[in-house]
Parts: sequence; structure tokens; C-alpha cells
Amino acid sequence: MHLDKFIPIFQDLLQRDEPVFATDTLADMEEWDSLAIMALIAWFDKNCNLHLTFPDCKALRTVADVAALAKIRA
Amino acid sequence: MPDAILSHVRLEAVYAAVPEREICIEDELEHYGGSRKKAERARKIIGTDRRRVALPGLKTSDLCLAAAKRLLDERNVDRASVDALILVTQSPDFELPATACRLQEALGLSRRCAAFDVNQGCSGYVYGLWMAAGLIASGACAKVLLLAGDAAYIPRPITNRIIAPIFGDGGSASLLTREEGLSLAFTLGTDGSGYKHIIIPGGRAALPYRRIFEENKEFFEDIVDASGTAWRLNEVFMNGSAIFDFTLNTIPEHINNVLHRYNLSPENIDWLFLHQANKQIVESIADKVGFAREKAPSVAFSRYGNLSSASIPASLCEHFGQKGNSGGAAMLLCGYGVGLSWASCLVRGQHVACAPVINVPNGEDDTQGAMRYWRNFVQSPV
Repeated sequence: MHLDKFIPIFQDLLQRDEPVFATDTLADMEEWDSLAIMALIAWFDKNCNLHLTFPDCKALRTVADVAALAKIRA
Repeated sequence: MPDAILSHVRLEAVYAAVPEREICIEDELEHYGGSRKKAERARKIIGTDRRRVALPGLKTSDLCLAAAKRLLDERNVDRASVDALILVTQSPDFELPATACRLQEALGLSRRCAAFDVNQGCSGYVYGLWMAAGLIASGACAKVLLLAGDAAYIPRPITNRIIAPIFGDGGSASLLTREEGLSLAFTLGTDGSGYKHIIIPGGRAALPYRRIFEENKEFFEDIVDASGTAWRLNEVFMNGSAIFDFTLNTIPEHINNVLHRYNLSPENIDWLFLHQANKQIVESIADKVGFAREKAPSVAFSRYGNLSSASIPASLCEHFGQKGNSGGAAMLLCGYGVGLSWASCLVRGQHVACAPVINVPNGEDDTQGAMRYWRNFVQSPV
């Protein structure tokens, strides 16, 4: 999947109205909370067969880091 | 792990009851900083916007009693024929005795009936089925009434947005009887290394209340975590992330093991009734074990919230209640959570009678009256 396609998916998982960019820092997003991480883990599990944990997700810094986990390239 | 087929056991009937009182996220905007957008986001991700809540005065025992009375009456069960009453709950009426003893009397069961409580939560319904079925399969009993449920006797702080929007209150009653040719298959497990992840730390022997109030102050002080959520030592604490990780890592593998053990695949199972932790978890487990989401209902969660050990019975009643019974469907019931613990029960070729979920009006909160009653009783017991 191309990064351009992943960004709107990520935005929807977070239920965030404001635009999302690959360089955005996760910690700066109000919506980057346990609900969002739960939704993200479930999405990766279902769509990428990638089994993330909360600590895995907490270690991520930017939106690009999230995408990189699923080998989503810019 | 216990892994056994218990023979000559029929799951005859399942009834469930919830409080009439419904709370919606819509009513709680102030706890989302007044933001409709934030509340809507919580609704979408959690998968519900409402839950049933027992106000003070309505206990787990009342909800289970309502379900049990209806079951015994509608199924024409001779009360003298019930050999054992098991109550699975984490919210009993008293520190002691077992609430099941009081319910034996309240239900008009025989003095020859064994009655006891079991402390188990989200996996508790299947644990209860396992014990009831074991008693019947061994010949110790011919008829067992299993009650399971929880209602928060310590109110969940409405400001806690991790706990409050998810958990509801509910009770249930199931009847298991002896019948040649029928059986139930069970697989159970425990990982006590995670006991801290859903816990009420204070109040019992590990962190007891003291006689002097001054020594108890810390029980009632807010402890704020990194997300800004406030917790107290005498209330339920939940490490949601650890629970979510446990659920997605352990439960699908457990279900796959059960299917493998009995040479089954998802196509052979009509319905997967999972503990209704939240919609996201139910759907994720279904996806991981290859069940279509339509075969793993989450309607009970959406309507009532997470009902602890009453969630699987409520799900069965929600699904089969109008029709009246399960019609011999092949069903896998799976509970998981606090402990950490998990359990599955395979039900095949059984027509389980189910009734629509019962609504129970809230009782009167009469703590002062109860206090007077017990003071008088202790002064001059009769």
C-alpha cells in the first residue's frame, strides 16, 4: 500500500478531523490515545497480519513510523 | 489445561436480566469536555453509546434472582429438584456468607440443595457451566442452577472514561440437567501473572480497610495516571492496554486449539458467542480465528455494555430470545478477562431455551434503613 492511501485510513482510525501528514508527531495529536491504539492494532492485525502490542505502538514517534511497520512506502 | 467432554449434560435454559436504567454517552458530554465530537469518537471506537446501570439499591443478587425466578416458573421446574445452586460473581451481597445461600432461600429451593459462590468475572459464565456440568457428569447432581453476573456495588466514577462507558450491570440464570446422549466440551486456562491488570486492590486481606477512618484516607484519594484518568484503590482498576494485548494474543490461539482438538473449523460452528468485552475486541477475535463477524454477535454489548459474567447469557438471550431456543445450533461460548483467565464451551445438538432479556426496575437505595436493620439484628439476633 502506498503512504497516500494509508494516511486517510490512519486518520479514520484516529477519528481525527484535522489533516494528517507523514511527518506529524503522534504525541502531539490529541486523538493518539488508548482508543486509537486499540483501533490501530486491530487494523494491522486484520489487514497486514501484523501483531502489534501497546508497547510497540507507544514506541512509535511519527505517522511515517506507523506506516513503516506495515512496509508502507512513501 | 482442563480439556474435557462432560457427558449426559443438557444446557436446558438460559435467562438474563439487566437494570431498566440506561445511560447514554449523549447524556455525558460534560465528561468529554462538552465536546460532541469527542463523545462521538468514543462511541465509534468503543462500539456502543449506551449501557445498563444498576443504581444503588439494585444488587447482582436481585438481577440473578429476577432471571432465576422467571426461568424456574416458565420452565415449570420443581424447586425441590434443584440439587445445587452456583453463583458466579465478583459483587456478592456480603463479605460472608456466600450470596448463593441467601438466594437458595429466596428462590424457595430445598434445604438439601448445595449452594456456593465462585469469584470469577468475564470468563466466569463458562467456568460456572464447567462446574455445573462436572457435578452432573460425575453423578453428584442431576439438576444445577447456575447464576452469573455482576453489578457495581462500588459505583464506577462516571468521570473515568476508560471504565464507565464500557461496563454495564447484568445477571443471569442457566439450568443444567442430566440427559443421556448430550454433552458439553470444555477447555479452560489461567495466566495469574496478569492478576494486577483488572483488580480492586484495596478492601480485602492484601490491603485491608482499617477500623480507624484516619488510616483509610488513601483509599479514597484519586491516583491520576499518564492519560489523566483518576483511579482509587477501592475501585476497579483496569490496565486496558495489557488486557487488549492479552486478549488478542491469547484468545484466538485458545479458540484455534479448541477447534483443532475437536477437528472443527469455523464452518462447522454456527455461532461464536464471545464475552462482550467491547465491539472492537469481539470483531478482532472473530477476524483472527476466521469467523465472519455476523457469526460472532456483539449486539448485547451495543445494547447493554460489558456485563462481566452475564455477557454471554445476555448475548444468547438477545440472539435466541424471540425465537425461544437455539434450535440445535453448534455454538462455541468463550469467556476471557480478569484473572487473567479464559474458558470455552462447545455446545452441539442441544435446543437451549432462551427468553428475551428481562428488564429489572431499580430498587430503593435505603442504606440507612439497612444500617438500622443490621444494628438492631446484631444487638438482639433472632
